[in-house]
Amino acid sequence: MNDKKLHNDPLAGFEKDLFGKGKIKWEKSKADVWDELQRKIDDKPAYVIPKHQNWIQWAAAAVALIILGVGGVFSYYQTTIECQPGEHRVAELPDGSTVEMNAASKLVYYPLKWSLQRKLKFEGEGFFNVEKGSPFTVHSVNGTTRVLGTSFNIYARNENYRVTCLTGKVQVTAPNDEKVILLPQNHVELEEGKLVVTKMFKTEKAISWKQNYFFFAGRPLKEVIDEIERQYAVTIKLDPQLNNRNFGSNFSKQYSIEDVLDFVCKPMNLKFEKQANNVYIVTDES
Amino acid sequence: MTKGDFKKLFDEHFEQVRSYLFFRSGDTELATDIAQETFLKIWEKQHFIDETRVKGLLFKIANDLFASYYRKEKRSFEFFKHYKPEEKSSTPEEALVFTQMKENYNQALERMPEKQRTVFLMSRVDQLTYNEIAEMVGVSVKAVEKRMKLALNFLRTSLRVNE
Repeated sequence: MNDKKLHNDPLAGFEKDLFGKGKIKWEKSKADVWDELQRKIDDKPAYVIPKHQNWIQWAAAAVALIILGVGGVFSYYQTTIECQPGEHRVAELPDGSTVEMNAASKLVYYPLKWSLQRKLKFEGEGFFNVEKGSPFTVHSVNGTTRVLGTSFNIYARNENYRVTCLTGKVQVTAPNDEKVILLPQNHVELEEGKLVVTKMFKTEKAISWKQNYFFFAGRPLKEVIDEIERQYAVTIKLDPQLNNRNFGSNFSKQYSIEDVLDFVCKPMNLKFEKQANNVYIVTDES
Repeated sequence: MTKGDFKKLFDEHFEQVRSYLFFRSGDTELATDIAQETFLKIWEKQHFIDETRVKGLLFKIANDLFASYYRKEKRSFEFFKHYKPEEKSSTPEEALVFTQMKENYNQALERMPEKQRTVFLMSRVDQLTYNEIAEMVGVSVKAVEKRMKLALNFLRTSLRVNE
């Protein structure tokens, strides 16, 4: 059956009567729909967008991206200064403040943000000489020190955190948010999570490391040995039983490593042996 | 697009869009709602619209709306409940035959596949050309011809059986 035949079909007559001249019965007239539509349009005005809209949108997006990018660079661009075992160095910050860094210390700061925020991260030991100005904050794992302009020494190694104030005022915050303010010659130390302040009459001892003198008063032997390791860039194996034995003495870096070990070991009845180049072992003599 | 342009667009195309939706769904209220929403969408998105191709777009939007809201619903298709043919019967016999024919067509249309039915009704009720139908439905003219042929075959077969 093809189309021609279909149209000649007697049924096509009915089809013509049924369709084409009739009307669909709508519940709503076209005019009603238009009225409703108009009301909806007035509720939601079409944004009339100027011809340059696209251009402006893109430009705005580009500017926003650039600002974000520059902001990101400003916020995240950082400088790291690291001091290897066996060396001392002086780091100069953008405002002229200086940090004398002891062996095996690390300092991170944001040079681009520096003028807005004097803030740095520090691990190790260092003597800070801070120019006067906005607050200067030093973050370490075990504490935060905040000053305006002064000089102070920070020792932040392992679980230890010690700050000695030499001039000006220094605020130290422990990880539990405990705060103390140090005046010159005050010294604070984190002991079992608490800040303990002591008066130190010879503050120069705290920074004698700068002159290569190392003073220890009632410090665990482990700490002394670690310091020797850092200063001479050697490895010293210490019998763990001896870690917490108290030691009070000093040494100067002008002596050789073996002389220094001798100074330390003799009074305590210890002995040391050279195991290999730059590797020593310290044991109890008995 | 100004409101005047929009009104012109509405006047030109609203009826076609609405009856097209009716031919697909068999539901006049639904067809009215979707047709209205279609025009609302055009107005809201007007700055993205190429006015030379707005007719195709109208049907595309209508199709999409129809598909996303209503396609899955199963509806009965009672064409002659909503469509009033012109009656010109003079004798009671003629009137009876006419009523019977109407009933037969109604049943046939209800069983006819939706695509064929839509094309068939657009051609017969709105008396659109195959070209116009193809443009609105968004298929080729060949496809419209094929659907028409299938629709007519379907009608003949089912109406013969009913006689």
